[in-house]
Amino acid sequence: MNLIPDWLHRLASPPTFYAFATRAQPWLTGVTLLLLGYGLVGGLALAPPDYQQGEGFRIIYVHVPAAWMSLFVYSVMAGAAAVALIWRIKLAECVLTSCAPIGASFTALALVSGMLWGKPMWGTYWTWDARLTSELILLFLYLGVTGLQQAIADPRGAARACALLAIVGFVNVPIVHYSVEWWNTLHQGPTITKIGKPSIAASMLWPLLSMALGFTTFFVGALFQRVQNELLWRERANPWVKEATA
Amino acid sequence: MSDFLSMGGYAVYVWGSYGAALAVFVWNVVAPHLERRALLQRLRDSAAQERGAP
Repeated sequence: MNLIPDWLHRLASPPTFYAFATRAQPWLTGVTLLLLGYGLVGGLALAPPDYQQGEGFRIIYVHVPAAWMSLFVYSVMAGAAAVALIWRIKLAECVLTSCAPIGASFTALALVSGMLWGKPMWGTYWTWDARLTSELILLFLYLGVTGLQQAIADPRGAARACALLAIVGFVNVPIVHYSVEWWNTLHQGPTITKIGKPSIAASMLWPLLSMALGFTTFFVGALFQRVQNELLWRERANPWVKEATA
Repeated sequence: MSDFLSMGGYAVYVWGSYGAALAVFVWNVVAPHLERRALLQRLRDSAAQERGAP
């Protein structure tokens, strides 16, 4: 199978990945700070107030990136789950279990910021419409993956069960995304991730994209930390661990 | 400056959201860091045990 490039193959080896993650960390931190820095300045100060929602719309710079991340992280987790299930690659199992708590936190943030946005604009913290309900289910799926991992002692068996849950739950990701098109929802329809030009002003859009990218690079950094922890523990009998933690 | 903090009357909602975001970011940095510290300690303890340290 020549689909896997050599460097990717090597990266799947625990000590190689561990060293790579250590080297990548300062770069990830730097890029994250730059992206979030511009996003915050642009979103809180430079972007003009909305003609309907005034300054309240600035919640968008937290809510939308968090929501995008909740779906992106789940997709990464489901991808890792498929790799772990089919090829039994240890690193994929570590990525799978490490994604869950991070994804859960972004989902919770999307829900909380959404509630804080809904109260002044819709007059309610919550409604059981398709978008909000499916996002809540996404949170339960993340918590389920973590709970399952903690419930099963054998790490390989736990990873197998978590992988199955992650893959089955993946059906929820397109449901969350298309919920505002498929059902009548209180939540607004797509303005950015749609066919055609985004219907949001450029001065409002650029900080939003920067925040989304910054959230993503932050996720990668946090993921690497957790994966490194998993590797250290699972490989603790291996001599490379002693060298890496010297 | 007070205009900035009041966010046109939406202060609680806007700063509440950014505060929640900060909490999520801090947790995602601190939690794995604490786990790493505990892990390294466990590895050191079990290595000492293997060497037959008292």
